[in-house]
Amino acid sequence: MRKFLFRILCFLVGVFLLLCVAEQAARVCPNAYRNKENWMEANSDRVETLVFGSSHAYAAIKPELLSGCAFNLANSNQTQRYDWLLLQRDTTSLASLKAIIYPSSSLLMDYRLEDTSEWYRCIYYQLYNHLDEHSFLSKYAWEVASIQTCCWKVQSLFISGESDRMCDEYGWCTYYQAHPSQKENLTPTKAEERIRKYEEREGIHSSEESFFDEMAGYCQRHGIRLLLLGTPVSPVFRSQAAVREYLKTTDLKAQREAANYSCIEYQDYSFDPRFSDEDFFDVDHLNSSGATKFTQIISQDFGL
Amino acid sequence: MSFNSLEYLWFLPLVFCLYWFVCKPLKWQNLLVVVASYVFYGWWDWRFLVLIAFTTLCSYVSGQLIEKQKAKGEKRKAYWINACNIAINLLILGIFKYLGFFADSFVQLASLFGWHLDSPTLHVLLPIGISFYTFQALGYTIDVYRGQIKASRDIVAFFAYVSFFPQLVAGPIERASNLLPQFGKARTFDYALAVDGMRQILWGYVKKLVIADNCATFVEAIYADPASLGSQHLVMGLLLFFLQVYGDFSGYSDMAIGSAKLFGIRLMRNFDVPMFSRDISEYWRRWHISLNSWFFNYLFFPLGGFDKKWKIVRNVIVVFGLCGLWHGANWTYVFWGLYFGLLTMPYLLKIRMYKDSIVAKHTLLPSLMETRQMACTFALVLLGSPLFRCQSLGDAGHYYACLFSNGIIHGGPKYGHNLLLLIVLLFVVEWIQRKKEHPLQIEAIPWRWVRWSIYYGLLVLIFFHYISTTQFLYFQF
Repeated sequence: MRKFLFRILCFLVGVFLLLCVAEQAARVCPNAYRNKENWMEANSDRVETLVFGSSHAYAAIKPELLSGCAFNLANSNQTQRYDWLLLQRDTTSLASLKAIIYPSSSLLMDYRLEDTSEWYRCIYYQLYNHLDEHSFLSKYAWEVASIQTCCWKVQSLFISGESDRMCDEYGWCTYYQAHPSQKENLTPTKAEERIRKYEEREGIHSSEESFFDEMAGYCQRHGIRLLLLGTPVSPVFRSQAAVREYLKTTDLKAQREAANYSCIEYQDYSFDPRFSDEDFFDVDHLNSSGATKFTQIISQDFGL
Repeated sequence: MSFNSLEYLWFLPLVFCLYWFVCKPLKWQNLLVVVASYVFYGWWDWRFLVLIAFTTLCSYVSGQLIEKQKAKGEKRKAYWINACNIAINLLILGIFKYLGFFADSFVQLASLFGWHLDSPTLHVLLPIGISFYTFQALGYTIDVYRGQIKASRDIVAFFAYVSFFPQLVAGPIERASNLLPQFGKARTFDYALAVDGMRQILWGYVKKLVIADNCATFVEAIYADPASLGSQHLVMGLLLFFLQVYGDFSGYSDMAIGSAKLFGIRLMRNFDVPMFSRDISEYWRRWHISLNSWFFNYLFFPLGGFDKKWKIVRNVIVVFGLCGLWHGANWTYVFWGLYFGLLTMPYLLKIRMYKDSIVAKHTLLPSLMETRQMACTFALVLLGSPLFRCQSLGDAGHYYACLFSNGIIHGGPKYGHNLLLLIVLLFVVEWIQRKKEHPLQIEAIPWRWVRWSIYYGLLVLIFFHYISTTQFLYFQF
């Protein structure tokens, strides 16, 4: 038995070393979180417009098309809490900030990211954005703790050559540029799947909406415009009754927030007829040409 | 709890340590096995622990009563007790697994005669592994009735036999004559057996996480829309689905057998390189061995076995039809079973068996004749897979129609060199090690560093091809 345990121990030491290599390899992989962090470190004092929110904003707004220095700090499944934490951390250096663009869909993202299936994103905020929200002994401090995403990263680095959903130099998600037209993503079935996903998400809300109030309060105090936007959704998505209900809830919530804070300027583009199937990557995310169109529209509408 | 879950990675070492260091007396070890097994099963849904406890208790009491009646010479009473136990167990299985299926089939049958009945909506949750432990418990009482084993007097050992966690939810379906005596004997730690168990677990993980899960993504895409794909992709779909099921199920069996070895328990072999079978009857002696031998022992032979030709035909249809139905409450499974029954029948009518269970036992490569036989058998096996994979007979028919009529269409899934290389590697390794219980029986390699390099190489392979933690397919059966 002793021999067996000793051999197992030796084997586990090897496994531990392998995991260390994997951890290091995953951390070396280029990723959007680190890119955004590096940009903010270098430019936070001169940035005039910042985009926050989830993938809807991440895909929809190309800062390069806005006048002045603008950057997209949004990310997939980025909750209100992380939006606020990213903003709060840089408040002292955001001397030139004039406007924040925020998608109204993020008003419903008032849950803990840690409780969702995409909890591994907390690791990235911890490691690459240096948001010390968790202990270094917790699973949120190690890439290998999420073995699946860690494997993907290492695989993408060494095998497929495609890195994790990267962003361009202005923080806009290039993944949607690489996949301009995905007709199979624009079907009623996909629309139903997506809305079901949103409805399931409602079950994990944990009243973290105070984080949006923190952000709005900050903007109010510092005279920063908070542009609350309903991002466009595809015709097939908005034709679903459940989606219309969902968008109505978002709209009501956004209107309420706009009434509470004078710094908020709200505009809903969800049903904007200027957007057709060609502008979408999937049912509720714009592709590159859609993002260009949308950014130009808001640039005109809000004088950005 | 699943073998590919993180929970199992701490559960197994914990139970292992308690088993060998804390619970040294036999009774305590058996009790620990029962408690650990119930925790393992209850992790999924604790409510169904009542069901498994009832099935176990029922078979335990039946075994005792059957033996008592036989000792008194009351054979008729023993017969009825056995029959009642079978009926109760099959009734439970029927309610939880087949009630909806039979109700729907009855409604459809009635509609053929012009009676239009409302299809009842039944929401009965299928307890994981119910078919496996029910058959194992049934096998015990039938063996006691036949006088092949003595009824167990040790209720803890019997509970351990039915619920032993490595094989509880997806087999192998053990025979009481093999497993029960092992729970009655004091067990000492066997280093070689434990190391072999670890190797077998590792190989099981490779098959599940590298082969099965990687094939599954393509299978999903191919079977979702066969009409839009060329025949070349549909043929690939047949192969990938076979590999998905084989990697998934034989991988699970390897992990189960390997885990059992850590506790000094030897489980029966469940897969014996089925892709290298020379005919369909040999294939069924190599694929899911514990289930197929169960059906032959407890159904085929009691029905008359090889008595007369017409009986063989009838028995093969009954056995394979029920074997198909065992896999799921759907007519597709029944037809899948019957398909193999028809293919097996000629061999059973001739009662031809190969002398050597190992193909090309004394040579590295098979002869031309053997290669041709293996290729034909494998092609026939693959042809049956749409019946197993599709949700309905209509879908399966659609797949076959597309397979034979679509022709070559460009475009479709890109499999990548990696997956194809892995498939070739699997076939090569399994062929070279076909004489062994599993391919990682590499103790003959004298250099430890080579053996350890292989282990770490496989871990890296898993790391690079890990996709997701999908459930094992055979849990649903």
